[in-house]
Amino acid sequence: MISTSAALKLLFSLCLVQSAFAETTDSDQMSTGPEEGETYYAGAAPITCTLRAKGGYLIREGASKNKSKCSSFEKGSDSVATVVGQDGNWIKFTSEETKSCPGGVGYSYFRAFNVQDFQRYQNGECGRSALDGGRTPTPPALAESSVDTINSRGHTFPLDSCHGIKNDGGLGHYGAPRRRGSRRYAHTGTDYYAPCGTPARSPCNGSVTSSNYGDVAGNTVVIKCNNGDTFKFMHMHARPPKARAGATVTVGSTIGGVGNTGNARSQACHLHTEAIINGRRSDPQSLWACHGDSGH
Amino acid sequence: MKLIYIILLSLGSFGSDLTTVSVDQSQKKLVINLHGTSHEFPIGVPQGMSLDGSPHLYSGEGLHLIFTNVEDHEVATTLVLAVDSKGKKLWSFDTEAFNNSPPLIEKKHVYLAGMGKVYKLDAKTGSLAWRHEGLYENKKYNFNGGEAISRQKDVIIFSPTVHVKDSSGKLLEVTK
Repeated sequence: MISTSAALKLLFSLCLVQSAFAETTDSDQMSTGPEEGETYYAGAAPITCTLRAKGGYLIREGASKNKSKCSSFEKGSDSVATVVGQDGNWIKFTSEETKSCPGGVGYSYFRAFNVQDFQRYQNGECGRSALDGGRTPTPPALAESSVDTINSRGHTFPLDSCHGIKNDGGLGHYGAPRRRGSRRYAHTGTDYYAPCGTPARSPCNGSVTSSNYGDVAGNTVVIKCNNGDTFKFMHMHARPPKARAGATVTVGSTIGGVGNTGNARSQACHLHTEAIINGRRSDPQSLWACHGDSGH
Repeated sequence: MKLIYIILLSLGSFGSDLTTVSVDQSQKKLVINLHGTSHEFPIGVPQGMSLDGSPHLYSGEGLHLIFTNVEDHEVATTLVLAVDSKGKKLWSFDTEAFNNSPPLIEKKHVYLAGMGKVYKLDAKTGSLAWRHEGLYENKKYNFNGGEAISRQKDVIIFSPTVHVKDSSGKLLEVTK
């Protein structure tokens, strides 16, 4: 699996078909991308692309998420890959490198940082013209190993990479015992650790139902997904600015920055994440499996 | 502003008598209506914490159990208040958990569970007969509460993964 620091640096700027695609960053091209929520995939004809780890996209190695030696894409290098599908903002591809991953099924994923980047990508030779080689209302099934980033309800992980959970007695886990004075309580969310200011992103398409500051929760944003699920994110910093109440958000929208505001001032920056699925508090780790320990 | 949430819940063993429970959040008290008579029970809510506005009422064997959450923005616990058929408080119990299962109420004991914790209490006094904790938060078992509690002879089943021998409190089956 790619390391945390490397993962943050694994950015893709363009995708080439036989090196014919020049960098396309013009805003006019960005505006001609697919409507949000449209589903494209490559259909029966696989598309071979050259992926350049330079900027714009972040690799997720779904099939090999637990294989530390399967990271084959480094910043600035090219690698030939075959785009085979898409799910939301995530592009599914295979490559010789991923096929060779021990135990892997040969699929990896990368995604646009935001809708604009994604739409820009869609206009590339390996973008719209390639990806809409076959349209279907049913996207290809995701590899099982991709559950660390996209869950079965279509919610994406709120950080660009998994930074681990504080593990000093499991206090960052959902349900972990917490004290308030002499009383014992249970932790209602999961604390995902990341550097201060790391963008926190909406896991779904929906709206911001609450955005405020509290002495305990610090900067807090509550998102209600279009399917009725709710996510709460707490302790965020002022930068990036948190999303405003009433705003519409899409998958990957920046809704704030990881922080330690509220009663977390003495702690390392983390994103307290709560998930209310079908009206019931649920374990975020049951939605996205973020393994490892932050070491904080 | 006084917020009152009314929930009409089970009639239990009280025939056609309407039983309701509500939370007065401003006064931090529970209000239960039995046979047309209201009974109020103040809840000790620590500074910075709040009472959830949606209590749950379970009745059986002449006993009413009212579940209500005390929480702030990142922690929660469910308090259980036991009231007899005349509206007299018998006992209260802090589960130190949320996502509580509907209780199993028997003549002599009640069984509670939530978020990796399971309890057997005396139905009249609330005294603890046995308990097990850490069944979820230690990440050993997939027991998140909310499952129905049932009995099979001397075994109390809290979920498909957690079985406890009632007479001794011994964990019989705890699987991932």
